[in-house]
Amino acid sequence: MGQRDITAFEASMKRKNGIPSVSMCRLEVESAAVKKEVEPGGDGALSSSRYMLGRGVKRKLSTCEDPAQDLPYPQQRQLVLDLCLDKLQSCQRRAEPSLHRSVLLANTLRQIQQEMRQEGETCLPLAPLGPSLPHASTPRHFPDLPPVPLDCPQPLTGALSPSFSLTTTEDEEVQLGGAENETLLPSFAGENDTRSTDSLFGSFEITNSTSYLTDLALDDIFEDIDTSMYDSADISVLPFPAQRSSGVDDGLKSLSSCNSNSSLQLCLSDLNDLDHIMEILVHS
Amino acid sequence: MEEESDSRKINNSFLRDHNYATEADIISTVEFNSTGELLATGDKGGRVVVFQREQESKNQPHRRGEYNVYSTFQSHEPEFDYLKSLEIEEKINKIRWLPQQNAAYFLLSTNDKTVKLWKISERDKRPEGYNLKDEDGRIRDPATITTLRVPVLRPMDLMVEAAPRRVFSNAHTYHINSISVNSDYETFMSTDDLRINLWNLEITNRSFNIVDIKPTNMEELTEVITAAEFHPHHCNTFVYSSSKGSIRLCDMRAAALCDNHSKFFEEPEDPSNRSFFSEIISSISDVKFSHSGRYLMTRDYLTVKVWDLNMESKPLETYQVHDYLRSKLCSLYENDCIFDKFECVWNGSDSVIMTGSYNNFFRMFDRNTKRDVTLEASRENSKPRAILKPRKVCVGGKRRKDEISVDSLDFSKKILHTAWHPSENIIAVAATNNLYIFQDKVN
Repeated sequence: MGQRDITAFEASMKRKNGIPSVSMCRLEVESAAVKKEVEPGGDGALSSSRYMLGRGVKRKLSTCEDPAQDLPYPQQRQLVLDLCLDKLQSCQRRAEPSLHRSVLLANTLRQIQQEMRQEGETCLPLAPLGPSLPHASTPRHFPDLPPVPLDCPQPLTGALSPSFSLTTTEDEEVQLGGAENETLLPSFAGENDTRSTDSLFGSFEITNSTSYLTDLALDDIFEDIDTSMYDSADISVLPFPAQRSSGVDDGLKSLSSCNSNSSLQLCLSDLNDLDHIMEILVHS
Repeated sequence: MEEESDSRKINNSFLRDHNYATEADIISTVEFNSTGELLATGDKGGRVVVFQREQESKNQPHRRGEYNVYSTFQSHEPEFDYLKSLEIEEKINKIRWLPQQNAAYFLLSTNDKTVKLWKISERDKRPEGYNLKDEDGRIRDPATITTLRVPVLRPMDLMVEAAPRRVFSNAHTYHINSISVNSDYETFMSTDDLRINLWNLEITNRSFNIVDIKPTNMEELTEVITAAEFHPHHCNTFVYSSSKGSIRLCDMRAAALCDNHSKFFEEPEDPSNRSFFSEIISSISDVKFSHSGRYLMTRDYLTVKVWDLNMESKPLETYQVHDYLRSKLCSLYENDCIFDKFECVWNGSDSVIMTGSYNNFFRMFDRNTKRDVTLEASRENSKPRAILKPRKVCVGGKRRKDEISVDSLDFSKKILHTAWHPSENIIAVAATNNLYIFQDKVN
């Protein structure tokens, strides 16, 4: 582009506005950040009021930056982690589940969890800021474990221990449902630490398997279990283990309603191996 | 391209030609055909609208050919997958034209699951004087026929018909994101998140799987295919991009299943820019060969990169599209904008590249002069025949008049789809449900 063109352009600009225009040559968009003045937050999508992140945090000079950027690193990370989980949960409820999006979210989540693990955090920080997530039942101090998804029967391949076969007795059927949730998590990882990441992705993928995989044909196992009672709106949090006396359906329903991470976590930390779980189920 | 048009490399004198408001639906793809005579748009409602450039008249040489609606048809309908309880959207993900071989025009359009070949043809004559039926189509009583005549063709009003000629279905488990016609004009490929299938344009009941990155254990899935394209001249070569920011070039002569790439393009990550979102923003949303076939262009969330096919270690050129968003990634992650998939295009001579941004802005980069410009596609800011004014985003400090600050950008107004005429400086920009066509200013 010759000089001639720029001049012509500027001339027309001047005629139009009466103001000298910005020269095309300077690439100011890419210039390094200069000292920023405090600007009143606009109505733009990125204003801090929309994300409730600004509350309680003193506004710093760099209001052009993301409010989340001002948080200390662990809290930033926690925030991203929570958002990740939140999005993964809502992923499954979307009309159009996107594998691409889910994979990206899962990778981000895994990366954060690995980082947290490497730092040897045993007590997960309780973030002081509280952007209220829609799922209040998911305590944020147990971010590793996803709520067990409710809206589809859980086809599992190797996860089902051979000792759990579908029989007609109430006890065993409930065990099947109960063990499902238990085996879901331990089966995918060796130790406690790696369990959380793998189980998240594994469970996520499992729940999506009805959407994406045609070669998993385990629905026949659940043919005679009536899952029509599952409705996420109706689910109430019940303590584990399930009440078996009320029958198969109720047992499964209440079991699946055990989506509260705290109860699951408590149970899992105490009952790690399958035999122990069986024992508890049979005796309770 | 002629010398004069080349001298206006970055066209800061684009003027707005027309604003075609397709109010009903959001435009999901835009594509010129190989001569630039036709422009096709697909929308979220499954419709395809084809525009045709009118012939330039000698009487009005200053008035360049404008694009008028040529044909509109419903390409895809919404479907419901009963087995999986999933709705299959009718949204047109991609349209690709076939090269013209006769009077009719052919294009491929695809939604998430099914690719269709459409034939668009004109009819301007109709036969009259049938023996067995009268002009209204009613059957004549044979007893009343006393003479025989030969039907003749008489001119009629031009009618443009679109008919589906092939339907390529049931080959994809995951959502189709790209289609690409091969330079042999016999085959094409369709790409979903995990697989790429090769089809013959004539055969709809069979396709060949040429890339499969689905792991045996789905839990190990960490990468998906985001786009793929055939080389413009070598019918055995194609590339596909991934969500991890890498591009693989494959040669179909090497093996039936091209899981092993011939070339692997990836830029090592800059450690100083590392954040939680590094992987998400490195996901490539579009990949395009240059017309020459020598270069490759990729678009990730913040940049456009031009690669030389002979150099796999790093891109030849990197252009920042909207680097001011780098400090906003957390908010963009929360409102899901970080997952937006922007496309990118080359101009006819491969000297300028263009891509979209937010606030109805789109950007052009001149590869030779290294100049760039930001333009806006909106009704308020441009009148027909007016020259587009370059826009600027202010990142900090004092905001000049006419500049817009980052916080005032409208992230719901995103330009994801653009197209550039194959030989002239005419661009089509889709801004949500409006289509803008800009032409080079005629001096």
